[in-house]
Amino acid sequence: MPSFTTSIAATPEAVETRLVELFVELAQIMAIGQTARAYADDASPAMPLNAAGMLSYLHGVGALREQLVGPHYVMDRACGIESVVSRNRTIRIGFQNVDKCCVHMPPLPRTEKGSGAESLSGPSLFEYVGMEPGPLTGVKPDGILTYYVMVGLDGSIELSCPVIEKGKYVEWIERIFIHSPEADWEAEPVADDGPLDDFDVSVSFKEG
Amino acid sequence: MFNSERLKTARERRMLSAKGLAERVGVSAVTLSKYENGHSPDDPTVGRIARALDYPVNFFFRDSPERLDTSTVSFRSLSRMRAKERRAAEAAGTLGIELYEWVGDRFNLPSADLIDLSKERHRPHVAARLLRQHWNLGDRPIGNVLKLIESKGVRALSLSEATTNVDAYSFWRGDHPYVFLNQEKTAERSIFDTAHELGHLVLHHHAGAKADKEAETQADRFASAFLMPESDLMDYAHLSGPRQIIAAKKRWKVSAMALAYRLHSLTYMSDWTYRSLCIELGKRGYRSGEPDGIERERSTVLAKVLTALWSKGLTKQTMADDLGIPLEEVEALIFSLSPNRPEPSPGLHLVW
Repeated sequence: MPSFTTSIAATPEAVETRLVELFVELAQIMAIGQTARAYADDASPAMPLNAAGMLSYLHGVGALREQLVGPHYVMDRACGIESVVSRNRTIRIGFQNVDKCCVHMPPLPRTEKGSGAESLSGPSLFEYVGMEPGPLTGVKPDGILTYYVMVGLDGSIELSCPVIEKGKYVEWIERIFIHSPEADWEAEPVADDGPLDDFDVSVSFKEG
Repeated sequence: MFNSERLKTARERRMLSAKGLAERVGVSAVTLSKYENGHSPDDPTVGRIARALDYPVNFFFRDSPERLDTSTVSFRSLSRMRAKERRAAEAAGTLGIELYEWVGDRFNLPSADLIDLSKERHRPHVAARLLRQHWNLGDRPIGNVLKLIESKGVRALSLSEATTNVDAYSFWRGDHPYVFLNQEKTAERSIFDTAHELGHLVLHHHAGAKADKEAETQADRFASAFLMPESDLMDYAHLSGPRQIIAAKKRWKVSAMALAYRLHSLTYMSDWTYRSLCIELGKRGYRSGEPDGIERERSTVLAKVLTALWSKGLTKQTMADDLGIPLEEVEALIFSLSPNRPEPSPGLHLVW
């Protein structure tokens, strides 16, 4: 069985080139990711446990549209996926929360993906090897490649096009690394409700 | 040239009346008044003035100080404050600005990152929430409020006024927000004062100072909501007894009374329970003080500045000499901090 060859854009030059081709800017994708993270951080202990993810999703989608709807993109809700689609209907961009981006190991979704996301991702593994799988979910794909602005728990961001099957990412058509925080991050941060005191107070001698 | 503004500043710092200083200097009150209005005294008189005020002679020959526009200053406890206490505190503000400008000329410092929330002044709890959002704090307690506001560019200095009538005050000077905190209060009270002054900085100063009772109440409510967010406090809504309150207050670094007040204002505590609690806490000494208190917060910026100066062989005395003010005034403004000197190498010994 042939394996997918994932195209990865990780260097600043490669990322820039790909983003131009997709009619988006680095600053726009960064803004989407940062907005989502800021609202996730705003989840309070009194809210449900999944509040951080929900807030991230709600405001991430909002920011996605605020940033991208314009000359190149319009709003789209095909198959229930809240997204934007290019006016020439070649690219769709949605939003998803993931565990961590921009590292060798691909991101894992934080929630199971639905049939809509599955239908809009493609080609499926069956199609990739030339088999006709038939309708898997009852939702027909529209042939538009669907990318997602993926935002990790650590604030990492990538713009990637996964193949989704059975609620999970099974392969990757393309991954574009947008932002990776410098800090080490190995495991899902434990929800911490203790006092905050790690504030950066930067003081340095002036030159000359 | 003798600077009459500096004479006035030094006299106010020493809380002396013009008549009182005149007696110490050995001149008439009228003569001293002339000195404060532009007439230059002769050299021997300048020496006597300097000795009477315990200020270096060169202090009186420096450029005019940046006198505070007192209408833009918010005092924490204006009603209890006597006029000379207010003037002394304001004069400390004048010296504090000069000190921080001295620091700012030599160091890169955090830039101010405060937002104008004057439109929310009648909803201080909303303002507190918005500022927490702006700073990405969520609802967690703040472990070091002074460090937080310094990281956001607020210039914090200390007051060592020997009176409990002066708690704290704040003002904007150009793009720089200033907060002065009295170190005579308990650490918990000082933290609340810090949040209270932060409230003034975001709620009132953009719209001009409002030194009225309503503004003080708004700043208090802002401080309460900022330090103890409702969502975080919700887990502690069951607290009712003095022992529970005393144990829990350390989470937010507030006084037992402040925590009880907040729980009551959020209706987590009945009027009857709140009244009983206040009486019981008062009996245990929590009305006038804070037994088993926490460590006092001190300036992180100034500690770093002192350490950096020390690494270049400069000290607080250098600062005092450059500013022409007594060392004690510098120490009073910088939380009596000392530089973190490098530990001596274990292989080295002093040789006498």
